[in-house]
Amino acid sequence: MVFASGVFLYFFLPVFLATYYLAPKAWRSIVIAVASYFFYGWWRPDFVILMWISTVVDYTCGKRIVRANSSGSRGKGWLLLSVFLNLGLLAYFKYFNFGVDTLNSIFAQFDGPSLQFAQVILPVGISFYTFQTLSYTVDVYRGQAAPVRSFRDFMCYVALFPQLVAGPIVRYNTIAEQLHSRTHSLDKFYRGVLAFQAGMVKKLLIADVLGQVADVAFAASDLTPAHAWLGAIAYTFQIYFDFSGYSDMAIGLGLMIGFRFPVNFDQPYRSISITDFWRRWHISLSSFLRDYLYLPLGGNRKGRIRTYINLSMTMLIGGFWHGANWTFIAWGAYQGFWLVAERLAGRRPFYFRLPCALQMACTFVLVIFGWVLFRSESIGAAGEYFSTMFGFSGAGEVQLPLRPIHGYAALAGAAVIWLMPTTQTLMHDAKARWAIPLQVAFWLSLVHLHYVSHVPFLYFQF
Amino acid sequence: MTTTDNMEGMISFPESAKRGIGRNLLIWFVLLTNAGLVLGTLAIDLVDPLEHPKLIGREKIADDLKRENASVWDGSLARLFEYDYRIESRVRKYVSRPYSEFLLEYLKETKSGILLGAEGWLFTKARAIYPRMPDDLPAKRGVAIYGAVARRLKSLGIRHVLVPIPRKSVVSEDLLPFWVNPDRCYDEAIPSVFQARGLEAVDLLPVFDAWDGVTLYRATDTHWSTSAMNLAAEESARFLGHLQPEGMRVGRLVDGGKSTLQRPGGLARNLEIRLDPEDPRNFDRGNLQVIFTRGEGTKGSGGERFALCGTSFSTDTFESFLSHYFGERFGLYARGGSSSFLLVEDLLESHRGGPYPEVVLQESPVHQLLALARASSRWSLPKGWPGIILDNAPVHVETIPLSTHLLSKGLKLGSKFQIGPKFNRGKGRYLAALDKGWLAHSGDGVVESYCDIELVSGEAKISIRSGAYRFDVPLSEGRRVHYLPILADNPDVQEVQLSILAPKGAEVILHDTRMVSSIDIRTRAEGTLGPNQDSGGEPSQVVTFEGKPVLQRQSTLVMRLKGEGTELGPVTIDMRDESGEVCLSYQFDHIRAGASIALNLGKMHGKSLRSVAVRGAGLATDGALLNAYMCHVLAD
Repeated sequence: MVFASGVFLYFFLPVFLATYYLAPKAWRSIVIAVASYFFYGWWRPDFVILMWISTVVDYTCGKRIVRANSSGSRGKGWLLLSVFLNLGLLAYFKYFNFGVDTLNSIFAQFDGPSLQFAQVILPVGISFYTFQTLSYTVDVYRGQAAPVRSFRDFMCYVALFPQLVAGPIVRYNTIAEQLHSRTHSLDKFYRGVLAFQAGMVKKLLIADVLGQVADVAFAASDLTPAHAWLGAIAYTFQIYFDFSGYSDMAIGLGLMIGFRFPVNFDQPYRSISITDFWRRWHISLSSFLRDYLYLPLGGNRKGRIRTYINLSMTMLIGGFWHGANWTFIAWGAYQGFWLVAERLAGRRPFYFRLPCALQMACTFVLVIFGWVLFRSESIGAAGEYFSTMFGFSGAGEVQLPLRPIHGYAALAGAAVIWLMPTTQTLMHDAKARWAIPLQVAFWLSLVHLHYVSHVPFLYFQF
Repeated sequence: MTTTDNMEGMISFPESAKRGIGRNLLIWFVLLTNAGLVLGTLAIDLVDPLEHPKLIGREKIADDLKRENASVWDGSLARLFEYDYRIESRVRKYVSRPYSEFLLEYLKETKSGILLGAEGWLFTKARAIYPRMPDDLPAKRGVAIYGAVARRLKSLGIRHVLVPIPRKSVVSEDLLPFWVNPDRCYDEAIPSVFQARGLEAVDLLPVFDAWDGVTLYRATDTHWSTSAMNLAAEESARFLGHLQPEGMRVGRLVDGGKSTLQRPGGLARNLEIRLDPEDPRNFDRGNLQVIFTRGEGTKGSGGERFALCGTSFSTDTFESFLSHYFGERFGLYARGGSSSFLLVEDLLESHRGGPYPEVVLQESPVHQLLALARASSRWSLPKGWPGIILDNAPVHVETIPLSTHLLSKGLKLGSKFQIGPKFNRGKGRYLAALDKGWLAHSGDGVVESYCDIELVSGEAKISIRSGAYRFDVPLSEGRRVHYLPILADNPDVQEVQLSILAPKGAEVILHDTRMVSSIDIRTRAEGTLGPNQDSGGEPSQVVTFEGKPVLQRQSTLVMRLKGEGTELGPVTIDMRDESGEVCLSYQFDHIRAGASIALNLGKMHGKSLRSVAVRGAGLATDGALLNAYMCHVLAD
């Protein structure tokens, strides 16, 4: 089920909220878990079983680790079981097809046999919930979190539908307390509604409209250089408004039922460097990778060279997490390269004496290049797109089907990115000057939702 | 103050103990208005939903099938629920229409499936923009289907003539948005490819291109105008040699004045906008009609010499123009929602035991052929079509000799074997393959895979894959012979694979499989193999055809190279006409000694074939060819 759909807005959400608030407090986690299974299984009920396996195994592993700790050993075997199960599920469902295709292309070079396997279907959100359950066992093993008090709470944590399929990645130790004790208030609910509305507006009125331009640009050949740039910028806007829109909606839904989730975006296109960008973009993923990958690899504690290697490795794996394609690996490598380059340069270079706006512009351009890699079907296609952007593949003849609506969406997007406060500020403030215009925009997006058909989110595929 | 546990990075905000009246008002305003909107919508849509639209014909069949097969497990039931909610939502109906009109009026915006062109013209996007594919692929797929219909009708003594209708986006290309290229090459290729494979087709595109009168398509509708039908009918009569002089025509051609009749293909309705009845875009300009008198006969008597299998839209309109120009009434076979293809069955059924029409004209909208080719990587025939193809195999078949073993390891002809997920991981079994280099052909469907197979139990389908193209045909229980066309972009380098797929366990016996060409062996003309020559450092061999036969669109050249499987490298085949000029040339980069070659020479039709030269560095120095002959497809 997607948030931006009639079934969710007019059926699921009112029924869920009514049931949740009518249920006794002790039953609310169960209500959330059941509703989340229904939400997740709406399109593929069999994948709920997969989530259940992950839930049961990690819950058991967590318990066993605690029992082992109390008896003097550390329970490393149970941790390894959890790691193998979660990463194994991820590897099979997300990377199996990629592995077979890669092997086949290698065999084809040597006229070898072709491996024939049925294509594995990727369960939506598996990348997110496996990371979450993994964070639980690791945190318990490290002693950074107490084991969950009941299986009911753990089911609720793993399946929590607002952030289940596309984040933010909610680590167990950040939400453990809220699972059995959280506050509910009208004010909190109201702020949640505002965040949900802001996300819906971002998604439907900006991301989806500019997505039409990006889709045509990345499918076309022989674009003019100017239009190739416009296509890349359109995708840059689309991915931000789509993903941050989803995060806002998740945060808003969380607040409606008393949860506070982590902030996932903090004006990333106002970054003045790529290092700064990664402090603001998909913060829940970057902090997860920092705490569970970069720091265990040694972080910056083992000398400069190891720091650079660790950074690059972390970004490479972060890129690969996004999908089974060489383009994502290249995108991770590209981000890692700039992070290492900025560390090497330190804060001395001329760049940091430039006006802030210029630094933002430079970073924005580097981010756009990254998104070209990210969006392209293959490395070759990305190369062709870059050569089109810089006019190396001729003048090009094809122009994008730009219409007035794209201009308005781009202007609105630019205003939100560079002029307006973030959703966090809007929620923090929650005053009429923002809330009233937001209502109008939200009602427009509801009308738009009646007009358009299916509107999935980009990050469902990762 | 913050909420419970203020962890780093979590959403935080002040939770004031006291709120002013203004703040309370704001909160209640936001919550109540939105709750009212959501619950109000839900209540209206539940209490007073719209009536489910009544479907007919093909749409109803597809809808019934969708509902019958809807399952919780694959999400189809959920999607069906969402779909039903959308079309039955009363709120959506009231909200969507003014919004659509606003978008169109102020932002020139349409729904994603519709294109807004110049002068307010509307186009169906799916019929204007197609993924790139070989120019002649839609035509070739059309041949595979219509070829079977033609064979069926021909066996009953009926002449079958297709009327491919060019797309609106091609005919009115100047009115499309600037960024849309409708790829008219697909429409242009159809008549010539049809003719090359022995199908008769009226080429309307040049006639439509030359037309300088009122528009041939309706501006806000998907359908052709009566002016276009009038032109098409006249051209069809001319093509068949039945165009009657003025005084011999039946009926009177008149301009019926403005017609604002809303047709099912109205794009304005799809856009959910209302057009002003006075808006000239909304009516058929030059609304031509043929008025018949009682003495000119009535259609549907069953004894007509000519018949039309029309689309659901044309109904009796196109038929009336045809009757006018042919000078006698046409039998008409058309019903709402049915493809013209299936209507041939209606026609034959209604004439069972009686005399058949002499000529059957069949409307073939080009967008339907393009739809067949659209999913180029996988081609499954629409429901109802495989049976007709399987029942009407090519009459004349020549086996192409192959020196490679087709069958996969461990499989014996005539032995029973099992397939399905229980037995194979990939839910299927690979039966046979023709390795690259063993077959070189011009890709015009001149080579087919012959497969004599018996389905003992279960459900299965047979699948042939060549290059990017895959063609699936479901098997019916019992023993059947299948001819599956092999379509490939680069037939010399692409392996042809025959597989059998089964969703559950199934038992199958493969009795025989080989490569064939559906040519008439009675028209075989042997070529004389010349001695080997040195042509600029590479061996070449020339085949001459005595009497210099005049080539037809259906002429096919079949050759076989000598030797046993050695990779030869690039081989070039040049066809020369009576003047000695090279008129047609094929180059195959990967070819083996012993390979079979089948080439369609239709592009040289009307010219005499003087010689065929085969040259390539890897060819045997003592002569490359084992044999060479020319045949025609589907002799009269």
